[in-house]
Amino acid sequence: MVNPMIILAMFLLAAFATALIDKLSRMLAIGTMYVVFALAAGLGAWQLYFLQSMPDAQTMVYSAGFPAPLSIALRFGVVEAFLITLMNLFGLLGGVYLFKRFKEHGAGAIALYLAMLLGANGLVLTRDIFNSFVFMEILSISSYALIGLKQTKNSLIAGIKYMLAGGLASALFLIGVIFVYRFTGTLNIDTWIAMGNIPSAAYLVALFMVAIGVFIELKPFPANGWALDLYQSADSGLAAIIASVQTGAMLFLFYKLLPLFIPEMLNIFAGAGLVSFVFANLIALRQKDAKRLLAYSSTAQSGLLVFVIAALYLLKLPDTIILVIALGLFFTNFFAKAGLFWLAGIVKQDNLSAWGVLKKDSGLLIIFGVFVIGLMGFPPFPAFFAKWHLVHIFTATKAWIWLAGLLLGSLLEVGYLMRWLGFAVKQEHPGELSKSFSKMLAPMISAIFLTTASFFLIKLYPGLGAFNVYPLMALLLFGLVDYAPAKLKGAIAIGVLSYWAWFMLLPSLPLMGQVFAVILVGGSIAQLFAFMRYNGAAEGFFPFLTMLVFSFGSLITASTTMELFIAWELMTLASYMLILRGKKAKDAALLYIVFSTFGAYLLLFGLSLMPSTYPGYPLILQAGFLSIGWVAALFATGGFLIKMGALGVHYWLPSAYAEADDETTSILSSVLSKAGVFGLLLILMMISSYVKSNSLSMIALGWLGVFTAFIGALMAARQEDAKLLLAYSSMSQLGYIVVGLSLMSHLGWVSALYMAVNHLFFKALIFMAMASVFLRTGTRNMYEMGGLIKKMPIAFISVLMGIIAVSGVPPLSGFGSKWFIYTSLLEQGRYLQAGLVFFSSAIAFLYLYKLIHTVFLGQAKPNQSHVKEAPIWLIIPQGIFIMAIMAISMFPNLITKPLSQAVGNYIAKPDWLSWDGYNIVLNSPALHGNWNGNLVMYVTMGVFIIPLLWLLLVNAKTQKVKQFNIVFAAERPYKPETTHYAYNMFAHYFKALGFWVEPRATAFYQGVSEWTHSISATLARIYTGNGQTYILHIFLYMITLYLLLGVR
Amino acid sequence: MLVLISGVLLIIIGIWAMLTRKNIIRIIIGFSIVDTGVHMIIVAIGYIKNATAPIIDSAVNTSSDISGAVHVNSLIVDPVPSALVLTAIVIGLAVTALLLSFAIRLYKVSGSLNIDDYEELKW
Amino acid sequence: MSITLKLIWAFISLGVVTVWGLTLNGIVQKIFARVQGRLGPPVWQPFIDIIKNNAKRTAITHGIMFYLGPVFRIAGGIGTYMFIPVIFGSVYFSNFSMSGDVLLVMYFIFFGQLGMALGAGEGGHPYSAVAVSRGLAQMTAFEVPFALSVISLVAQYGTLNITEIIAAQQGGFLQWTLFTNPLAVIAAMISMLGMNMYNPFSVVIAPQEIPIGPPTEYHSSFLGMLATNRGIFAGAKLILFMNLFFGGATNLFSLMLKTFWIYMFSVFVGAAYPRFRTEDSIRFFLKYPTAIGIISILLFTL
Repeated sequence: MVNPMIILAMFLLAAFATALIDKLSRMLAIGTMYVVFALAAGLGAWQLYFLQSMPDAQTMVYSAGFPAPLSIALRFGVVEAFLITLMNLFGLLGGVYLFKRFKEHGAGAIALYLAMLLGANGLVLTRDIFNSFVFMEILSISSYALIGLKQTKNSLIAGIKYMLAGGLASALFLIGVIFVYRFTGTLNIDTWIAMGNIPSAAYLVALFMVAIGVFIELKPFPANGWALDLYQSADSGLAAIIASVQTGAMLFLFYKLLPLFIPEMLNIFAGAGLVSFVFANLIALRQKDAKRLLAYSSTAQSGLLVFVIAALYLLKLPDTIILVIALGLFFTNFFAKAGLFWLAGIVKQDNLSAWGVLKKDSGLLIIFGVFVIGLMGFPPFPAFFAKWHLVHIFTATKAWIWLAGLLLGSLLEVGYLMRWLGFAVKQEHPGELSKSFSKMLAPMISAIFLTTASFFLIKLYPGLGAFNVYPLMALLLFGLVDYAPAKLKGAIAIGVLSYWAWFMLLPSLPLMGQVFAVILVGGSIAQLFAFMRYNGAAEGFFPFLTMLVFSFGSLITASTTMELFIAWELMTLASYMLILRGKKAKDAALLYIVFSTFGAYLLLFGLSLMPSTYPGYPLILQAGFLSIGWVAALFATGGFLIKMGALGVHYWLPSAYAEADDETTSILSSVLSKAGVFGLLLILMMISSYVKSNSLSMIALGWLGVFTAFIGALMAARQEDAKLLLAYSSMSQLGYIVVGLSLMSHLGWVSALYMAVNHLFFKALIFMAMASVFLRTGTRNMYEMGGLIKKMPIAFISVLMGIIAVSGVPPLSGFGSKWFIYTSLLEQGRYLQAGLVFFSSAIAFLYLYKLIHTVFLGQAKPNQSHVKEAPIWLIIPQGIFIMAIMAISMFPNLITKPLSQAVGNYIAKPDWLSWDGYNIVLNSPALHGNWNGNLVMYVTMGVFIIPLLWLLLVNAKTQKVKQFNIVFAAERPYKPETTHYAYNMFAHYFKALGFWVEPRATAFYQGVSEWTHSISATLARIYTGNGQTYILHIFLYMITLYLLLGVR
Repeated sequence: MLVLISGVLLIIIGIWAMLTRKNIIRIIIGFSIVDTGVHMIIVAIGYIKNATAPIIDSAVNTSSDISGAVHVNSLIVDPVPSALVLTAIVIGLAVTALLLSFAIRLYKVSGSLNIDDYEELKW
Repeated sequence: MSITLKLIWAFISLGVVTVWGLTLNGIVQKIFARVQGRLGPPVWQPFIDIIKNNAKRTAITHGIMFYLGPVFRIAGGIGTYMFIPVIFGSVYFSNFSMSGDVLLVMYFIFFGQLGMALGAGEGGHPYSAVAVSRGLAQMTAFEVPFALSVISLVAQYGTLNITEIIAAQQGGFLQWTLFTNPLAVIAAMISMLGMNMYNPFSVVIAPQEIPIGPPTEYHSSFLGMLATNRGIFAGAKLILFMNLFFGGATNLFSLMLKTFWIYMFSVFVGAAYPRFRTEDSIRFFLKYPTAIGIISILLFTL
């Protein structure tokens, strides 16, 4: 094995030699430093390799040849080797980043930087408490001095605050150390641990002082004002190293001391860490300054890590588990946080909204995205796996407060990080990037390293199938060729996805899974044609689209809850990116991701309560045999309902649908919402053993669905923006699906699935047609259009077919869904719900007529005389969906029979439901009824064609007249604006029923948001900026923790 | 005991100075006083009444056994705290020096040593 | 029965209902005139109008959808009628009622209305759109009590099949829904006032002041077709109500008698009351009739 002394000696030697070498050549001095870092990292890696081949090798090294406690002991085990490798790699990257500073300041700066890394390395290696103090001080003093290199007022005063705080902390630490020594007679940590607990109050006080000394250095809220100022004012390169290397080393020291702590202390520190995590994130929410935001975020993250190690230690989990979780979080945090600081130095903009300059370099923008998403704990980054296991551990040990704090803090984190990402992606800014090779290298390598590691992690993680990797591979590969023309990428994507869906996805699924594969994957592929309409590269579509479709596949095939959740998160991420691509989608996308994440956390909690599944078999196959508790079902259902936009949690839906690109909205509405249906159905299958149709919970779910349908329809009727109208319409239609699922009966589920398929067809059809209209007219306001039937007949036909299918007017397939939903509701005796469903579906006529009339009929606008039919790429999907609607309308058995068979695998088909040719006969004791879609189609065609022939006969020669050739109150109109009855079309309706559509959800969520921001602002006031106040904070904080500890 | 108590007293005085004085130099002096107090505590911990210095000379009563190993029979002061305090003093010195140099630089940059004049970074 | 024979009988039954519906419309016009102190047109005036309109030589069109509007409308009327069994127990007058149940009929009613609204929309006349907006708004409201009363029938009879509902009402007039489930019938009859668009719910077509409503721009054979549909559609709706609430009919005579009196209910109300504004009629339908409908359901479930 390697003697770790070599590392320390190497640093020391290099630091002293620098002064000499610098005289020779500055470049040589800098180069020597880089070589030292590389060697140290290499030694760490070599030790890792060595320990892997010889796991039982001795890892302790004693200085001066004596065993501890007589000498100072160093340990170079797996964890230490891992940290040494990482930290020196970071030292190298950070050193390259700071290249210009070194070149400017020379030997002094180089030596200080080497000393800083020496301190960090020593702190990791040593097992001696006083030695730790020395390394801590080496680390601190060198970083103080490095801060002084930047001689601005803010930087200097931040340095003073830092030194005072650091000095106090180390004074406390030192007093603690000496008292513990008084009781134990040794300074060796391992000997302390071996001696066990000394039952003396004074000993505990001493121990507490040691712990608090280290803890203060970890910047806990609210005793961290000095750290915030430091991060904000220091050079970005330095802040990056402090946030990663210094914090990491201190954290590891804290971890080493954990075995000494009594449970009460662990509890206090876990709590303090959690408070720090939640509150620092809360305050970060309203930050406008990028570096100060990063500062809050860093302190939150170190709080989280303290919380995690203390909490897990308290729960008496094995060291390996604690380390794996902590390192998972640390690894991600390490790269991401330092990377963000580095980027801050390249962007050189304080204000978050000015980060739009990143758009000037798409490579940097991608790197930024990787860091932000990694920091949030999305899969496949290691932090995701850490959080996943944390949630499971806390659930298993019923640590509800810890769990709630963890998820709350993470949610707040998502809020501000995604807001930032939104600024970077969407906000235009004229500034310039300060790019140079030395500065770009560090963030670039970190991002590559982080993604590569994550990629291998998800590929090698036990229990994850190949399907989980496809979305990421698609993202990567299509991301690499994103400069190619959209038409080429589209063709490739359609080909690849079709091949995968047909030959790999479908054969691996049971019938129910295939139904959803057709909806989710098939429905998406058909709509991919629309994206080929773009000329040029149309960057940002295909990587995320293919990722989305592949993640649908892994969602359906998921065989464990983890696979399900990973697929769910990847799907959310892909759809977020697609929404964010919309022109004005910044705020809408933020709302979407915050709600989605909230939903995902509910789901995560629900999943953590579920029993284990049988890996290798799709969940949809197992769901019939699995049984889960009602709490798990409740939370998971909540998560899925958010994605479906159920009433109350629908707040994100309208704006996200409206602001996304038009083709994207089509996929969101027609396909993505069905992923929620899939999840909900899965949950219902798993509780079907004890929850029946007449259970209170299912009746309540039914009412939720009905009111979603009702309010959605009412809101839709009130919109002037066609996309908002369709968004609310989707919400309303999803409500019907929820009602159907809530029935827990064969017929109810068939009705829900029929509705799901049908909704895919008609909503995609309408959205595609409307996308062509928006494309050609350049507006979404319906009252600014009119009379487009003559300009865009194909779009008109599509919308016409679509609205007939939505409204449920026979003979098109829409009636089938209405028939199924009423019969299934009535059959179960849900009479009042059926009544409200009827009302909602009648209201649908209002918005549907408004849509088609104000856009396609009425008076044409003169400025739209140039409008022509949409490009073929938008018409292809319309053709596909029209054919699909006609097929299932004409031959309903094509869909009703497979659906009934699919449902039959979970809830057996009752005898009273039968097919007589095309006639579906219902002979239940509670309800008789029948529907013959095929015959209805023929009758309708008959009664339509005969009068048409008659009219053609008697009225063969009609004269076409011009637009204004109408008799209008004895006056000939000449302005279409005054003659097109469009704006506020149903004023009278909302005069009568307006109280139903008051924006209560909006008021509620705005209230929540306002309150959060006010609390955040109030809390931030404690950071007055005064150095003395910060010292007082540290003091009071220490006393508070001490009192909380209850040591006399 | 007296050393211990005066050490604690010094720490309290130092912290009081750090919290109440507005001049940065005085705050640094307060910090230095705290440091000194800590050092005194360390020394006090190692001190044993009526013991001699941990140096094997004529003041220490020793005896050798058959194997030749030396046994110390009289009370001696624990040498470790004394060793530690040396390190601590050096570190304290370094921090104080750095603090002072920062304070001088700060005065050169903005012409004030009142800590209340430096509250730009906040919230 | 062979499909040809079925078609022939369907045509015959359609002819019967057209004649009877138009006659009823003539009678109604006469009644309204007498109430208002006018002499009024002859009872056969609707027939004369249709023949005259179909014979007109001039015809203009605003586009294809405009042209198809009346076709949609009459297809809706005929289709609705085709899905209703006309005479209970008669294989000849059962039309194509085996295609579906009462849900199919309720939704097919919208077919003609929607198509007509679209055709009129292309006409570009704002009054058409105004009337459609009023009509749709009012429709959503009056459909609620009607739907509730149908649901109440389901709770009562356990079937959506119209023939089975009639069968359940056989055996003396006391077996009619009117007497076994009076609240449902009250709710449905009030909603029929809205469907027939006589006062107080006539703001949709506002016949007195201005020419308003979808037919505003329609003329000649288009108007003829619309007028024909008025007869068919009125007949179809009346037969539906008769089947659901008044025991159906076992022969043509009882059919004529019952439908006549059902129709007269809305005519009498219409002749006696002034007109609601749209928002008032929406509020009205969603208050008392809806409450009555809900109570009628609750009575059968609790």
